[in-house]
Amino acid sequence: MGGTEEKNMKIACQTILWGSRLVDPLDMFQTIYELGFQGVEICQPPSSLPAPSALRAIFEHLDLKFLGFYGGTLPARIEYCREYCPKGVRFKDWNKPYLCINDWDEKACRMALDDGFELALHPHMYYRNHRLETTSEILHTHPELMFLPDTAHLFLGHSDIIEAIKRHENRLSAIHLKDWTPKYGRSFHRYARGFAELGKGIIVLEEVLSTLKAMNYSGWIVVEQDSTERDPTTSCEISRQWLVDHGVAIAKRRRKEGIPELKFKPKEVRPPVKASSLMDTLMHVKDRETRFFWHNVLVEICRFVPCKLASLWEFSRTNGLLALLARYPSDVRPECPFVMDFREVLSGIAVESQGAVHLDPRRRYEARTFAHENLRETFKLSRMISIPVLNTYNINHVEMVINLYPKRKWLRVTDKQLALCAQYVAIAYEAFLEDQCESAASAVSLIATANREVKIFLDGVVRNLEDALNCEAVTIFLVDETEKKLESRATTGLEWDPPVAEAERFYKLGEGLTGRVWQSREPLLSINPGKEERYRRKSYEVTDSGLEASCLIAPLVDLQGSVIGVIRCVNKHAQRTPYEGNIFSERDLAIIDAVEQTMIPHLLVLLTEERRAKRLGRLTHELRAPMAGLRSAVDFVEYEAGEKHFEFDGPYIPDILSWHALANQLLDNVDFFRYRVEGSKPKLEPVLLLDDVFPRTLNPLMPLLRERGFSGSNITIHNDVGEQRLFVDEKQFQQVFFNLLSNAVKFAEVDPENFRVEVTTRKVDDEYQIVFRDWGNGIPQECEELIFEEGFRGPDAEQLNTSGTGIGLWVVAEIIKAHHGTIRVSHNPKPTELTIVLPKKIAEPWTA
Amino acid sequence: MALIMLIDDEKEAMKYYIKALELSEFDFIRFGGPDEVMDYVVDKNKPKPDLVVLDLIMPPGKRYKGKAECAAGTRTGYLLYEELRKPYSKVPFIVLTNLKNAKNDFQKIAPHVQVYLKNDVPPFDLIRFIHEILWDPGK
Repeated sequence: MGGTEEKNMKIACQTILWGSRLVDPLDMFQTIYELGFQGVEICQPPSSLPAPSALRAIFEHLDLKFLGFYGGTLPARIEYCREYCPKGVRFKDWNKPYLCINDWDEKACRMALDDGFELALHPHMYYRNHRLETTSEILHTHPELMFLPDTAHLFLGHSDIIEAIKRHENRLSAIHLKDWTPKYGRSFHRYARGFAELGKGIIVLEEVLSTLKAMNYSGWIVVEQDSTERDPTTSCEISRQWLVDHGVAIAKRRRKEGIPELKFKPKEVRPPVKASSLMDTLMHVKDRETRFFWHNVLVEICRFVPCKLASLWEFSRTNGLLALLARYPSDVRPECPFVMDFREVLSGIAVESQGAVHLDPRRRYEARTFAHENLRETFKLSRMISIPVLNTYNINHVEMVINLYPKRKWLRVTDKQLALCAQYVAIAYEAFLEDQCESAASAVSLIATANREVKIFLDGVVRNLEDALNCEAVTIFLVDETEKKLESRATTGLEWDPPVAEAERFYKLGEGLTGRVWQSREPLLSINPGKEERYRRKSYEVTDSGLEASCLIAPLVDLQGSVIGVIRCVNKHAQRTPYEGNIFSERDLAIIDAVEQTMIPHLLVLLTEERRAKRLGRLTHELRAPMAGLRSAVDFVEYEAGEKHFEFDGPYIPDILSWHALANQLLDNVDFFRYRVEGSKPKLEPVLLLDDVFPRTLNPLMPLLRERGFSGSNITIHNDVGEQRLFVDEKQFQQVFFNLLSNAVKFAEVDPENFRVEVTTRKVDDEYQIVFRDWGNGIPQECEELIFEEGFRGPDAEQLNTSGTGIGLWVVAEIIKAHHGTIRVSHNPKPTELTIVLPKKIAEPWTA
Repeated sequence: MALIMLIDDEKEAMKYYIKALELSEFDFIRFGGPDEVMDYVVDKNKPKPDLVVLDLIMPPGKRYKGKAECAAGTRTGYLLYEELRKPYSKVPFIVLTNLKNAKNDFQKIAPHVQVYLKNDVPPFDLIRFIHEILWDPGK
């Protein structure tokens, strides 16, 4: 790779890697310079930066381009830039850095555009524009905007990165080159932890680079990584190296001497004096019962900010709702709303500001008012401090809001100290969430190791989710093979609306809320599903409460981004008291995401096995038709030979019939795979095992006996249960006997004189036993339990080159298990004795 | 002479069953699918059969076309049974099929119906069973 294309592409570095608050900006810029980057996109808010003039001096000395500005509000950034503007240059004429925005805001954006700034629309997860289609709509509506595609956010939003670049190639401010690993899932709270150095994730960035080269792209590429577990310099170096390895020329440079001194000293923010017990509470988040934990956090905050009232709200970006987590005092009266729309209430201002805001609950702030009038009147509230708790890995995301209503006018704590406490709360919240996610995911792993069938696995998962999310009901739907239907596969209690015929009990793409989630690939959190667009109530979960108070519907997405199913949860239980905000939140989505990450690989394997078993079943079904034709034809050969008094020279008819019976018996074994995945139960009928069932196994055995030169008379039966009929599946027990006999024949000694099999039925202590003895080669001791595993073939089988697939004894064991019995090797060798024990209940009608 | 109605779309597979019926004392009529059967049933001039031998997997025909459960033909026989049991409420049915689950299914919907797998019941055995049902119903 070489040529003029790479030389025209310019590479910049984004500063978020060094944290939201800079400690040593000079060192950071020096590092960026030394690694060969030509420009810088600044992500920290202006308040965290050195003075504009100082920054300008550094950039001029290092010849770094101030490419873009991301952090802080638009007005704050514009103000900073005004002061930054080089002396002697008119602000209007100055080649300004572009300003990144996540969405259009009429007032702020117009101000920036009027000042001659370039506004670059950046798609961002969990913002309105995270999908390419929405971004394109905004760009179409506002032709004055430029586009700043981000490879990771586009990938996470299931958008085509190449398509995004090509579609808007004439409006690119720059391109954020970012990688992502699915290690932490896609949920709101955790996805940002997955941003990784270039080449360390799953995004095919090579394709992006080659597309840019093919386009002769001569603009800027910005290397970005939101956070790192390494030190920032190392992460930057790794990303830089990836670019070099892929043909992008970035030459390292020597540290430049004579850099202007920077009088920048970030103020160290100390926690408030009485915050030590808050720290203690937060540190022990995992040890505390959740119901009391958040309340205790508020109690501790109120030690250093004495309050009349305090409340903690959990914010969900997906539906814009704030749900009450805790309040102080806990028994405050009168009652107040426990779920609020952030767009309508004062707390929403904190959600948008990213810093503590001081508000007057008596005032109206544009469209927002104080939500609890009765509380305001009762407690004479005149002051409110609303503090957002920001996601540690992505400061664009607000996770919670703390509302304080101080008793006194003057506080001994600063906003920065409050922000620091909020940061500690965020860390604790993430530890708490991490714990919940890991716990739910581990439970799924355990279920997966114990179960090899889709139905049983998913039954375990729904019960696990019901518990983990503390809700009333859960259903898992899966997309069928045709990809046209979404069918219920496991549920804690699902009903279909009566007019819906049995054959129509599935969702089509886009049908109802469930089909809508399948189509959009976006989760839905709703507190009133009946009012949602496309609500249909085609099916519903049966709950003890009888309510449809809230629901969470999330898509099941595999690594390729395809939706393979949908999880639906209803009615979250109240946490501590009935009147707390018991609605589904982003936290529940994070838990589901963690569960999905664990369950999907297992599920895909089980589904593949299930489909394979069904295909095998269809194959055996197809084979049975010609088998039946063969049988019919032989019937007529016998008939006509009899009619015409014709005698054959050999036992052709009996031979054909015995081969036919053997083939059918072997097909029954293959059919067992499908039988198992369909969850079929034994069909119980009263039979005499040795009198009725056993004789039918001898005909199919004949070809095998003839092959070895054995006589069927060496197979003897002893019936010690007399005329006792047992309620078993006759056909399945025929399979049991046949499989055991065929094994005995296969592994018998060579000398026909030594071939001997005895089958005994007896009753021992109320249980019924079938004891199967043969005098063959025996079973290696270490294989005595393994022989009942699917596909296992002992060393003898390989050595003697005997035919077989290793499923015979597995089928036997599964059939016995379905009859609630056991089978084991009770003596070995000579004879090799297998004992089947069936419970006493099979002597009476029972339900499998 | 007793009239047997044979409903099965597979001519070749049923060849020997038909031959056995020809050799037997029974009259019989054969239909390949639900459309022909129901045309016969609604014709009041046509005699009622004394026994019906019914296959389960058949093409849906026009009658059941579009029904989701009939798409692969796996439910045609079941739907046909539901339609026939009314006009032929007193007529015994034998289900003759390759579908292994059929016994379980009919145990739930019509336990009195005899279900046989073709592989287990060659042609002359079928004749014998028909004989038993018609002439020795207590057996």
